[in-house]
Amino acid sequence: MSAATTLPFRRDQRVNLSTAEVLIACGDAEGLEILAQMFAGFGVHTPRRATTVSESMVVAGERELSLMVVDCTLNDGEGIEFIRWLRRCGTPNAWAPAILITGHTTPSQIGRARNAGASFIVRKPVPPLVMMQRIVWLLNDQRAFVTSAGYCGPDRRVRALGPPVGEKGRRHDDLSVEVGAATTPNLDQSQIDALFQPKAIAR
Amino acid sequence: MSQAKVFHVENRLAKVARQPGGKSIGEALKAAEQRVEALRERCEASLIDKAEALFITARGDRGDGAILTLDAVYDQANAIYGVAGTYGYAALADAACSLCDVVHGFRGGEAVNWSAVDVHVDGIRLLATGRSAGAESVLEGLKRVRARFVPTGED
Repeated sequence: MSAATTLPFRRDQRVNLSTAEVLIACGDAEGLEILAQMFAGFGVHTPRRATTVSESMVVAGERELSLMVVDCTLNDGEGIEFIRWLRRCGTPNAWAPAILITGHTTPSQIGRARNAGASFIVRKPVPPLVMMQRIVWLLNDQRAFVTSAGYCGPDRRVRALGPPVGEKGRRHDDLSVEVGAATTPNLDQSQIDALFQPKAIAR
Repeated sequence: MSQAKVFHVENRLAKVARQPGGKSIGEALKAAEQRVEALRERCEASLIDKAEALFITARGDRGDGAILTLDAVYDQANAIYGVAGTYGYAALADAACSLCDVVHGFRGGEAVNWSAVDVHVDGIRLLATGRSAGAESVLEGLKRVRARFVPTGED
């Protein structure tokens, strides 16, 4: 299958990241520069750079961020630590999308990153096309946020499969797998057609 | 047990990105690819420096502070993996990833085999110079070393 058929966007689709506040955190100087230049190419005017967990915390405390792109390896700790802190920091940035970038990746690391509240985990190398795919995905992200004693972050159930069988869902909009009896009569064809008719709108 | 709260928040990224103006995704990708490519020379040079730094780090404390040495080796190999992968140095990226695999196991409490670390570091230094001759045999050797310490499917 060609890459073109799997892209979740059209190349002529427009994105305006010129006013986006983006934090880019990476412990490696070249890795940081690669990401910063990539986002500059995407149109981000002033990506905020950080090389440590503590610098990332300072940036997140100073401004309202639209997106965070955090490498797993920072100079004073792990990117996962920052994301875990972020999700409970008590500012609007707690709900901002955060992409975690990993190099050498183990399954346990993926589990830890997911449980820390990362919106996405992307494995290196990350070419611009892959990063843009993730950004477009985040633009359309409808996931709810969850806060609980053990987890804080975007709903980890990406696919809406409903609550586990035999359990009542925790979300107010979770539906039972049991389909109940109809409570209103079926629409007849003329009623269905009427829903598609153009209507005059009062001004 | 406290009840989980589930709620929706405004997608700030979408709000910003959907403002009028900006550029097409095609233009954005092209600009990003050009900017990343413009860093190639600097990054290629840095791979040699990183490999030398890795060599010095790996020769560090192998006694009580061995875990710190391993952590630093892991991070430096990881950085090499990221940059090498970005610029298409597949053999170097594979060697760095293999070192990460081996060191990851040692960090988990396995007895450290420093020879396995050293042979990886030597291979990485060789591959970082960009000489492709012999890259396959270097990788083959590293693969065999890795297989001794990292069973298939091991995390």
